[in-house]
Amino acid sequence: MAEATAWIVDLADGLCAAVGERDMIHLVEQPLCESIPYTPAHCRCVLLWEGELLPIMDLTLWLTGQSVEPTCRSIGIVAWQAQPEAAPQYGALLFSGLPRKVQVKDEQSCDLPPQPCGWNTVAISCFRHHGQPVPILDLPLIFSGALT
Amino acid sequence: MMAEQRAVIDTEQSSRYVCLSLGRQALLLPQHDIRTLESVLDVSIEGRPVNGVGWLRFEKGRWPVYCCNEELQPLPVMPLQQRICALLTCASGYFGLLCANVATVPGAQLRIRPLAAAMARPHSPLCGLTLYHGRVGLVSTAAHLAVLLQAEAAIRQQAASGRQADHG
Repeated sequence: MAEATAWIVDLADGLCAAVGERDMIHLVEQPLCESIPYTPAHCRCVLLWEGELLPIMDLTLWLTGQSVEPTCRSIGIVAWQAQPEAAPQYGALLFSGLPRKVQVKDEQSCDLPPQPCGWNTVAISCFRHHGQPVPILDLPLIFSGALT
Repeated sequence: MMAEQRAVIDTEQSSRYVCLSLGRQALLLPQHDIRTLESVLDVSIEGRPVNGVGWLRFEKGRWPVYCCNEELQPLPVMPLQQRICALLTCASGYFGLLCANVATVPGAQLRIRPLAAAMARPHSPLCGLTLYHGRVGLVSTAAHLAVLLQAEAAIRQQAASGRQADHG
């Protein structure tokens, strides 16, 4: 039976999501963000990180129309590869509080929650943790511009 | 880094940029987009163009003048701090953009990143982002700003009314 490690992040009001253990490479608490005009509301800011300007994705806002409470915002620097040999790509994911590391087994697989309906777009699969469905985020898609 | 993000706009070809200060915002344009700098005192506020604050006479023409806030949204009035009118070149002529300060920046000092795909919007005036004096600078062109401000339409309208006056 396959087992993997994931990070669970809280979005808002009981909403949570997961990314693979190796997908989140850095955590920034109380980040300093710079707003960029003429950008979508859910991706309005950039974060200066290691000399790069990373787009900050407010998935909570995209899913629910409400953003994460400003006082408890954290940012996870996430990385992915479009193809196995491709250079890693980076983005910043906004969430609430601190991420939790969990072990996930195949048998925990479940359907995506019906609400918010945007899960169908941004999640590749889902697992159940402590009775709650936790969608696994499709990072390449989320940062591809498909949500604009 | 995302392939799109990694790609850096070649700043060698357009070797100098000009940084216009709009409040705390740094707006960087290729230097060849700037025709001249004028004083805000030379801007006539009679018959404001759409989105604009007035007109500037230059080279036998009368060109629309705009001012923007830090969000690059056009303002209906001239802020006291924006005392310089940068006259920018566009397809139909020129248009002015008010700013507080102007500085030239060698392109070699800038590393311009294209806007991340997730941040792109169809009619954004932004071509990229760069770090400038420790902050994020917005990179655009006069052509992009002209579209944003509808400057071309104002210039054409002004030219048409000028021709009508000549014939009258």
